[in-house]
This record gives sequence, C-alpha cells and structure tokens, in this order.
Amino acid sequence: MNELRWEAWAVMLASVVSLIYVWSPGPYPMGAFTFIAQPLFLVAIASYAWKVLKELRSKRVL
Amino acid sequence: MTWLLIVRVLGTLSCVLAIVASWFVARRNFGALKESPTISIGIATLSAAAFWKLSAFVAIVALPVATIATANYHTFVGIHEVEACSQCHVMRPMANDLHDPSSDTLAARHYKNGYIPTGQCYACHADYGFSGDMAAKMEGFRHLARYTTRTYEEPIVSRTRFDNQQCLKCHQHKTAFESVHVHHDVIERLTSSNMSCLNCHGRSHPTRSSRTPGSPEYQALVKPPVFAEGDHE
Amino acid sequence: MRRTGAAYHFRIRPGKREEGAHLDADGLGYRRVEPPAPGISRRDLAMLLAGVAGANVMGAATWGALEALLPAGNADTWTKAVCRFCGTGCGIQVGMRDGRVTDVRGDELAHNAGVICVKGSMLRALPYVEGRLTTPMIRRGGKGSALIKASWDEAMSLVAAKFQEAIAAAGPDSVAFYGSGQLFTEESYTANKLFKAGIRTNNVDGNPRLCMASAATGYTQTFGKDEPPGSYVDIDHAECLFVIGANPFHCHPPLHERMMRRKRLHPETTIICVDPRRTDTADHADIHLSPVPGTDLLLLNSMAQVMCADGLVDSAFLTRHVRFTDGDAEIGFEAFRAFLNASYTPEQVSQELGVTAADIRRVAYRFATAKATMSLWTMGMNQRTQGTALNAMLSALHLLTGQIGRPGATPFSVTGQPNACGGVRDTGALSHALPNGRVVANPKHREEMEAIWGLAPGTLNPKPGLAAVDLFKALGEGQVRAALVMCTNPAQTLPNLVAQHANLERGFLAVAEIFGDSETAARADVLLPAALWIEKEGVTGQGERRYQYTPRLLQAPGECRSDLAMLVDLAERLGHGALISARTPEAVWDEWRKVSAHSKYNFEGITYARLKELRGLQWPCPRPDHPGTVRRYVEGDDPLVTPGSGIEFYGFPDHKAVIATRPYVRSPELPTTDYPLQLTTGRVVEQWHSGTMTMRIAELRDGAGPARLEVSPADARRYGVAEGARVRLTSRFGSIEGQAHITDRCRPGLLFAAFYDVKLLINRIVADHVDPVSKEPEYKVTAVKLEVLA
Repeated sequence: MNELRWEAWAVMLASVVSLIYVWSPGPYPMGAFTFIAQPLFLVAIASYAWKVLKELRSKRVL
Repeated sequence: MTWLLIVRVLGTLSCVLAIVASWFVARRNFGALKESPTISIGIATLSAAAFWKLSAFVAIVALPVATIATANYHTFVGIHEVEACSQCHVMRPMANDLHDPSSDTLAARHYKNGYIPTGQCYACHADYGFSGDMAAKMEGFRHLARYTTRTYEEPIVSRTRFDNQQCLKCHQHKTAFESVHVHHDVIERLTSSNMSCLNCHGRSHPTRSSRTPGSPEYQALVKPPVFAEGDHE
Repeated sequence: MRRTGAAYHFRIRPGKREEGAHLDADGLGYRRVEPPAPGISRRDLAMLLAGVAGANVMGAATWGALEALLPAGNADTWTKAVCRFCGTGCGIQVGMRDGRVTDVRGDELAHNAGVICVKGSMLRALPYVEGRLTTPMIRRGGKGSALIKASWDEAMSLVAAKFQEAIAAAGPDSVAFYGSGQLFTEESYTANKLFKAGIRTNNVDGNPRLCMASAATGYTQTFGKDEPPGSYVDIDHAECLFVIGANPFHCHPPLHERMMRRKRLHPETTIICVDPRRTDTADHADIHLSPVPGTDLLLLNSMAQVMCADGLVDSAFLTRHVRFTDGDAEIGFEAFRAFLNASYTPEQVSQELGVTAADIRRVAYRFATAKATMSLWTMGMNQRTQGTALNAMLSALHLLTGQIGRPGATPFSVTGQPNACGGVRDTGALSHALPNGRVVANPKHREEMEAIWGLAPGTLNPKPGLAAVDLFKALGEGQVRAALVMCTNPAQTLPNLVAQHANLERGFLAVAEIFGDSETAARADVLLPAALWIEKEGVTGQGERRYQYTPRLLQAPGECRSDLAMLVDLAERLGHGALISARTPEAVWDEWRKVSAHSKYNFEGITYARLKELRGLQWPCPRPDHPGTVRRYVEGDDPLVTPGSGIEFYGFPDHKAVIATRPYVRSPELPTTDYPLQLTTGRVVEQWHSGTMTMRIAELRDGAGPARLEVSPADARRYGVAEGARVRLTSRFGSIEGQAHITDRCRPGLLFAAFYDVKLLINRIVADHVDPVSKEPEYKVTAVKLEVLA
C-alpha cells in the first residue's frame, strides 16, 4: 500500500461524529453514529485490511 | 466515578487519539518507507516502516474499534435510562405519563407503587438492552432510522407484538398471578404472547389518539419531562 | 526525525550510513524523503466520499433489511367492533389476516379503555368453532323424527304456512315471537313491528324478560322512563360503590376492573358488596354483607329508615324533585317515614335479614354521606318476585339522599346481555310494550305508534301479550300454536324446565340458531341457520345507553343468513312486505332513529355514519351534532331537560321522581322443613349464559370445567357430602343430579350452580314464580333438599 489517505480521513470524520455522540447521546447523534460513523469505520478498516492483505501477498508472506 | 463518566473519558481519548493519529497517517507515504532509519520512542526502537505501519493499525483499526465499543455503551446500556428514551419527542408522552400520579396506565401504576424505581422503560422493554432478543434490537435500530430520517407518522404505533415474558418475568409464579383462575385458562396463550396481558389489564401508555398532534392532550404530553433525583442509577 | 525545509529527514543512527545519505554540518546522516503534497488529493477526496457514500448505503441497506425482516404481529388489519358477550358492551378491535380473525383485543379508545375479559379475548376462536348449522333443517316426519336438510325456500314457506294456518284457525294471538337481547337492534325492531303491527299480536317477548324486566319496571315506576340515568364513567367519580345482587368480578369483569382502578387511585373509596355468597367481588370489597337469600328488601327499607330517622335525607331535593306514594295515592314524606318506622328499623329486620343492625346502620350512613354514591346491581335484584320493588327502592335510596345527578352519584342497573337495552327495552319488543317506553295498554300510546308507523287507527292490539314463562306455557296448552324463536336458548334458560320441556314438545317451533344441537334446537320443527356476530352488521345498545356499531367482517358459512334477512323473508311471505319496507340494517336503523324522535328516548342524531366513526354514542342524542348524553335528567348534559331546571325528571308529567312504599313480601321459596336449603344460580367468568358458544371454545370450556353444585362446608358435613360426590337436589319443581363441590363461598343453607352446562340443567329445579309487575322469574331463590347418592 502506498497511502491510507482517505481511510484516515474517514476515521477522522467518524471519530468526530463519535465524539459528539459520546458527549451528547440524543437520537440524531445516535443515528449518525449507528448508521454513518460505524459503517464508515468499518469501510475504512475493510479497505485498510484489503491493502494490508494485498501487500502481504505481494511479499509472499501469505 | 460512574460508568458514564468512564465511558466519556475513554471515548474522548480514543476519538481524539484516533483523529490525531489519523492526521499523521494520512500524510504518510507508506511506499517510501524503508526499514531504516529507525525511530526511538523511549526504550523502543522501531524502523520507520514498522512504526508507521503500527501507527496506521492503531489509527485505522484499534482506536476505531475502541471508539465503537465505548460509544455503543450509550446504545446498549445508557438506553436503560428514561432520560435516554425521552430524547425522542415521540417518547415523551410515555415518560410524562409514567410520572403522573393521577394516571391509571400500567406504566404509571408500576412507577407510583415503587416497583420500577430506576430504568423504568427498560424494566418492561428489557429486550432493548444487551441481553434480550435480536429481533427487539433490530426493532430498536429501525426506530432510530425512522425517527432520524423523519419517516414516521404520529401517533407512533408498534408493528410487533409485545413479548409477554416482560410481564411474566416478574408476575408469573407469584401468588397474585397464580390465584387468578382465568390466567390458567389461557396460560399457553399468555406465555407465548399470543394473547396480550393488556386485554384484561388495560392500557400501558397514553392512547394513540392523545398522542396525535392536534389532540387536546398532545401539548402537555410532549413537554420535556422533569426527572426526579432518584430516577437515575 | 527532523523536518528541514521541504523534506522530512529521518535521522540515521550514528555510525550507520546509508547509500545516498547526505551528511550535514554535524556529521549526521539524513535520508531525504519527499513529503506528500499538501492537502488531500482529488483522488483521495473521491475515495473518501465514496467511503462515506458506501457507509450510507450500508446503513440504508441495514435499515431496509430491518424493515423487510420485521416480524409481524398477530394481524395485518385492526377494525373496531363490539364484543359479542355481556352487557358491559366493550369496544374491541378485531385483528385479521388473510380474511381470517387472528386476534381480538380491547379498543383503547372505547369506554372500556382497552379492557376486555377472557371471553372477549377468545372471540378470535368464535367464528371458527365446529358444528355450525349451515343449512336450514326440517323435521319432516313430525315431532320426534330426525331433522333433514332443506332449502331456504322450503323452510321459510313451511314456517309461513304454519303461521298462516294458526292465524286463520285461532287468530293472531295463536302465534308468537320469542327474541333475544343478543339480536341486533335492527332485528328486534323489525320483529316487533312485524308481529305487533303486521300480524297484530302482542305475543312478542324475549329473554330480557328473564333478566332485565324488573330493572325496566323499577326505573319506569321511579323515573317514568326506563334505562340508567348515569354512565360507566360515574365509577371513576364515586366515593362509595354499593354493589348488590351482582358479581362483576365474574360477570362484568371490565366494570370490576374499573372499580378497582377507582379504589387504587382513591383509596378512600368504599366498596360495599351485598351478596349471600362470598364471591370474588365480595373478597375485593371493603364491606361484605351476606343476607339470607330473598330478604334483601328488608335491607333497603331498613337503610331508608335509618336515613329518614337520622336526618340523612336531602329534604330540599325531596321537596323539589320527589313525590311519595303508597301505590294508590300520593302521600307525604312523614307518612313514608312512618311506614318505615313501623316495621323496618334495623333491630326489627336484623334477624330475618341475617345482617346485624350495626352493619345496616354502617352502610346506610356511608351510602348517605359519601361525596358521591353509585350503586351497581344485576340479577340478584332483578330475578326476584319483588324485583320491581327492589329496583325502585334502591333508586329511592339515591333520591332520598340526593345521591343522583352528579358525577359518581347514580343508581346504575348493570345489564346482562349485549343488546337487552338498545334492542329490546328501547324498541319495546316485549309483550306489554311499544317502542320508546310506550305500552300497548295505553290508547294514547297506541295512537302515537299507529301515526308514526302509518297504520290504520285501531291496528295495534290493546291486549298485552304473553310474557316468557306464560308464553311457553301457552304453547304447551295450545293457545299459542306456532312460535318463532331467535338467538336464544329457552330450553336451557327458562326456569321450571321440566314443565317447560313438556310445553316445548307441543306446537310448531321455528328456531333461528347458530348450532343445531342446543337444547332448544333439539326441540325445533324447523331450524334456520343464523349468521353470527361479525358475519352481519348492526347496532347494539349496552348498559349505559350507548349504541355501538358492529361491522360485517366475515362471510357467514354455508347458507347462513342474518336474522334480519329471515324476518324480512317471513314478512314478505305473510303479506306484510309493504310494512317491512326497510330491508337493510342501515335502512331499518334510519327508520328507527326517526321513530325515536317522537319520544324522550330520542336518538335521531345517532346515524350509521357517526356510529362507524365514533366509539358509540349515548342517547338522548337528538341532533347529528349532539355529542350524546352522559347523565340524564341533568341540565347541560341531557338535551331534553327544560333550560333553567337544573335536574328535571321529565319522565312524569309533574317532572318529579316517585318513591313508593315497598312492603316486604316473603319469597315463596323460603326454606321449609321439607326443603331446608336454598339454591341460587349465576354465571362464571369463562362462560356466557347457556354455553352454546363458550362451551365450544377449548380454553373457556376447560377453564370453567363441568358445572358443579357448590355446597358450604357446614352443609357438606351435615349431609355427609364429600368433595366431588354425586348428589341429588330436589325442589318442588323437579330434581337433578350433579357433582358436589365444597366451598366456603356459600353461606350455610345456600347452594349455588351456574347454568352454562347442558349436563347440569339446573333450571330443571329452579322455581318460576314471577314478579307480578315485571313478570320476571325468581331464579335467585329456590327451596331445595339435598341427598347424597350412593
């Protein structure tokens, strides 16, 4: 992998939403966290995992 | 030192650290990293590549997982509290009625008699928390989606059947319940939730018509509820 | 790490050197690395937005899956309707899926606030019980032969022929109609009109004669008009609830629940229960009085005596609103008081009544001085040889103390059947009556109805017809040759069944029923399959003057028809098609409500449209915009009250209510040496009346179990009765064998049995003495003797 640019930005965005939720757990922050931040985290993690997998394969570790 | 405070501190930490770490990870060109030179942090010595790859893992995976775990405290545990439920205005009639000593709904009567001093909504809607069945949790997320996207109509109406075990978990096998003959006539229907306990015991919450915008009771019912000191855990 | 200029430099540890490393001033090497371009590139932004979009799509997909995978409740549609069973007349919601009834729950917006009972909860099973009668049947070989399937045309033409034959041979009074407080109002109204105005016989009666007649006469003698002045909502305001001759825990459960709620919210509420048995209702009461069966008029008269003697009466109210009479002439309050003082002081009555003088005074005081006192009663007071007197005297207690016409203060006669009020009492479908409180014996009333119905003067027969017990006696003796029986089971519910079964063997009996094997159906010459509950639409009027609408939600099975359709058919065949011009439920209803506008039972403002939209309406309701009347005779609530009157008992010309002296007459069924015990009958919560419906629903049948004879422990010991032993009970009217159940709910000397079980036809031994005014039989008191069978 060369860069984790957009994954990192996704994590930053989702973390901001999560921070709001942690301090002010109303329905809208809860909705934003559950339906946007959580999937965003998961998408970033998935993309990261995919890149790591590709790299390890290319180095014949896996 | 309540759980809530711990969650907030941990949650803040993991979010802020994730933001900071991600900021630096975003700017890293991983392809250009080599095994040396090395970086020393305290007594640990890592190659640049190792350091940044570890940082990436922490920033993209570990901290987000920690954030998800701590933030979900609100979703699965904090939701026990009446204040949490009352955040949605469509729930305020239930909370206001609960605290009304002149109401004869089941919720109000249980509260007035001191049977549900804390976590009142959770006491009967226990499947919304961590233990409880998946269907109810799915329902909870569906409610959240509907509410935040405003794709609901008032008065809100439950589309699923209420699980009678929520009543029976306290009432069954007690003398008062067992001494009523008709309970035994239909016990299978009661335990399987095929017949509602409310058929004989009446309304649990304010009627749908009073919860309809425009009804005479509506304004009073959706006022933000006032919570007593003892309501919290 | 050091950032110099535009590049990041990684420090290399001293001693190591890399290729391509630079050396700076202090001899340390740095490797030059190009930093990423500042900000976020377009590609990365695009990836980020794609990620956010992807997250949103995942979120939306999850939501979509949740919506799709939502486990459904019991039903897809919910429609408001009315319970088929008791006179509480609960509003219900019928849940349906794929055209089947899958659930029934209480209607939270109806008067019962969502509360029903176990019978109502099991209504979901009712349309699907086995054994429905689906085709007409004729006993082709005459009495004693088998019933054979027939077509509607055959069956109805046979019924019409038999009726015409009888009328031709012996006049209109040789035929009769015996209806029910469970028919829809439109059906009872049509039957009443057909028989009284068409056939011109007043032999129109029904099972309300057996349950509510005394309430009707009691109210009419007191207020000039029938039906309770108050409403169920008065329970929510009463400070004293006086329950007498009623067991609402079993027989009107939502009303009992409402009483319990009142008590929970207002613990100062006193509940007084007067019942010879220690019922479940008595267990929940604050004071339970257990009088000797048949003597409770002594209690009411004695309470009145205490009230008059101790200055607990509301003299101003009495002067303004009440007239006293001794039955023949008007008397003054002093004469009334003297009547009570002569024989009804607590000390004088205590022995025979079985209640202490102190208790009599206690309840009298509480009744009189509570902020609002509501009395509730049913069969214990109605099914009595002094039923009219008991009813009137209880209303009198309210009048004496001014406990009337205010929230929570009212004499409330609770109704047994779902449509005895609206269907039979209000339509006048009884042998002495005409619609809206009129009577056949009154020429002015007959003229009014002839004018309203467009009949030639003199059409209506001036002679009152035969009431239930006498009607079937006449069938047995041959004066009545043909009878149409609809929606009731007299062969199980009439008293003195041994004699009545013999009567039912005579004459021609056409029976409209839902099952072919009821006791009555078994004696029918023609069986007509009837539609049940939501298989037809119509209006019922429950105990608080509330008319409610039941929609048609199901197709009736086989060839079943509504009772209205059968009556219309019969009318045509008997040549009265022009008279019975209203043929659909709504058309009949429109005719009937316009008829009511000519009376004080005016409900012209209650249209089908309003009934379909609202949770019923209470009459009087004269205009389409009128909200209905919660409390009659009260200005501002009752639209028929003259403005400026406050409270006005407009039933009588002088606008006063009547209190009459009610001398106590001993029941003919008090214990004797030959018959030393007393039997009373009643119901249990799981079973409705003769059990034709509820004994076919497993949970209710198994819940109630077989009917048993309840015996007190003292009597069990005296007669050597073991639990479950087979015993024989004998009265002057018959004898019956059954299984004994020992319970201390019965006071010594008293036995109890419910009447839902064909295997214990308790009415075989029940006496059929009737109240001389109301003609209602005294089911509640029968002298019996007990033997243990080996």
